[in-house]
Amino acid sequence: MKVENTKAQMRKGVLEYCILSTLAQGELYPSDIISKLKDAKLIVVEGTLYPLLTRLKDAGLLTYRWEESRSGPPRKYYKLTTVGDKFLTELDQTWDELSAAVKKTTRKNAQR
Amino acid sequence: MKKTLTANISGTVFHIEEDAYDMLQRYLGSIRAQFGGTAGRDEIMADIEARIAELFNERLDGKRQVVSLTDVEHVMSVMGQPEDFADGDAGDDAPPAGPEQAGPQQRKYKRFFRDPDDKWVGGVLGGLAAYIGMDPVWVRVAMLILVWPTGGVLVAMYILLWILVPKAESAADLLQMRGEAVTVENIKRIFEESGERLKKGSEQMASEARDLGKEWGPKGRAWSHEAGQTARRTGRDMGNVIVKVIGILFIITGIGFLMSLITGAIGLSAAAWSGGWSAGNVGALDLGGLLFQSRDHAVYLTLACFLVLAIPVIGLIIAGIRLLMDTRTPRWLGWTLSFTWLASLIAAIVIGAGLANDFRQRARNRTEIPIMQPAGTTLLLDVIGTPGTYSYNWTFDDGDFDWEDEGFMLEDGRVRAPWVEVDVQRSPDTLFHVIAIRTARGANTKEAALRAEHITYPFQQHGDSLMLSNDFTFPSDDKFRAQDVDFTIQVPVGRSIHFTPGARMIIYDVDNVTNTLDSEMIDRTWTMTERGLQDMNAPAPRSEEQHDNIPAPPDTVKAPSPIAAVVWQKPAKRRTPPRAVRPNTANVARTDMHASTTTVEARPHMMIPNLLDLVIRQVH
Repeated sequence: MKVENTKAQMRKGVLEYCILSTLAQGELYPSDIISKLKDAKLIVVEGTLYPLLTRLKDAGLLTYRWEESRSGPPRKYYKLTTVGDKFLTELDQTWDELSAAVKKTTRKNAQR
Repeated sequence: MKKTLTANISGTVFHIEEDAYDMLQRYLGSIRAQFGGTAGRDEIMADIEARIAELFNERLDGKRQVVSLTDVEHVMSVMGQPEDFADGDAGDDAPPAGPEQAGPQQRKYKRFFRDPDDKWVGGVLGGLAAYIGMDPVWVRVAMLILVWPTGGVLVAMYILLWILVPKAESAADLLQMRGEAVTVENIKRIFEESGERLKKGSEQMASEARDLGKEWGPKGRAWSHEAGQTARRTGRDMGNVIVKVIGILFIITGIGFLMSLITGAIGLSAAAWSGGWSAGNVGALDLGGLLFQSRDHAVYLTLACFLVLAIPVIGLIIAGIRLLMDTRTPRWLGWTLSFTWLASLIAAIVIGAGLANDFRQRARNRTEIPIMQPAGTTLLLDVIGTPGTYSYNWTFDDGDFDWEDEGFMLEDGRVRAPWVEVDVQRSPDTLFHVIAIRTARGANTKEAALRAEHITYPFQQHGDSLMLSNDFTFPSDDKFRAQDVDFTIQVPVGRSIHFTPGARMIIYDVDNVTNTLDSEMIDRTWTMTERGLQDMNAPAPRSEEQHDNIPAPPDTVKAPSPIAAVVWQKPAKRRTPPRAVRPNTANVARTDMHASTTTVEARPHMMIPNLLDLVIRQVH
């Protein structure tokens, strides 16, 4: 078992949650999402994002609208659907529970 | 001149150089293949193309017309490797990757892995064969033939490679090892091949294969990602095995040097701390304090010298690791090492120059010591008993000279140095004279003269007995600046001097007509003649010419050759010839000296100068 795999698995679960969270504040263009995730060091290359966005959109959590761009092709602006909003609220709750649980467990372990 | 093509990317028309176009084409092809039959593939591709078009626009910024290879590389580093597009396997921490997989010219890049599929021992030679594109059989044959004449070096190298070279663990590794391009298609092929092989096995094997498959998918991508980066670094100059071997040699040499340096440093620091003040010995640290402005200076200089020597060695090791592992040295490390090296060098030069400056001028202080003329015709030369026994030996073992100097001491803020030398010359008048010559060095003559004046030496006269010491002292605050004391005893013609056995320690290269060595001059009375000192009791040689031909009497050895002189010196070469003598023997009994029974070991006195002297005399 390699630590890289475990790390990748951990990130994988969190990534979707984080993408939805970035959109909670409003509409975003993929590059904006990427720069936020890059700042947080969650992802490094943009390529990772596109399939995820498409999947979330296909699952009905996201929707987008086209907007003309001055520098190139029209852009897709993503936002949360109502389903996505609910989904995110649930994830928020789960995350709080999880992180509290993780903290509690790891702290106990640390004390021992 | 480059050919350009026109491409429509997401509704925008770009002029694109041909090589750039090829690379982009391959890149998009790989990504498309990555998604395979994923639902919404076309939509994702459209999104990606739109983004690429946008990135190109940003890059060109209206100033340039044509998309070049570097633009495509930039886009690929922003977007990531095809493997990064895999849904779910997102965002590992690796830095943005280069464009190697897709570029047509990168196809041949290889990396040295151990081959787990084709191995006898560790798979090193199998991997090497794959790397250099040879049949493993020939590599193994070459190894077996060369093992004997190279005497184990190859074996050691094999073991080192076994440890250092990673085993090809993933499909990507195997591809890289064989030099096939790490494309999604190739990985899939390898993966399928493996799957195929495993399916042929039992049910258990099949299930293992499925597990393996699950494991291998993401692993393969991760590995190819990493391998791709490595290939990019090695890339341009197609580093080969020779580079690796050189790297290993660098590392081995470097570690060897470093080890000997560290051993030396440990030895020195051990010397620094042992030999305290109380033991009468002077540790290296004390010696450093005597030599330099402070002990700290000595430590700094040692440290600086160590770093000046060690840093290039460390550099060598790093270079070796770089060659071997294809890793890039962090820039700060290079800077830090260069800076430290330069600083050490400057420090060493500054401290060293300061020290050298302090030795620049020499002062010589000549003082005649007033003595009472002896009642008889003979003056006795004896030594003042020194506290404790010490030896001061030149030893000559195994062709090496060792200087054993245990008499050098620090006590009460003064340094005691045991290298007084006494010479005997003809007096210009009818009186005995004793002249003390104190010398020292300093940054200027004034300092040097002051230091020379600070030197003190014991002197006693008891009747006809003149007593000098082998030691002189100077304040340790003066530092060691080549302080020295030499005495010249002037004997008038017709008068004599007798060397007691104790005087053996202090007389140095006393000229005499029979060329008798110092060690044989003791315990005898020498009379000053017009020609020089002569022992009147010894059977006188008939003439100078005949002297060479007759067998030399035991006490008037005229060595026929330096080698004979060495043989002849043999008794003196023993480390501690226990030639304990009492200063108060019959010869000095009539003096009023205290009955001191201090034991002093005879000093096989300065054999080297004597040897040289002999050679010179032979030449004459």
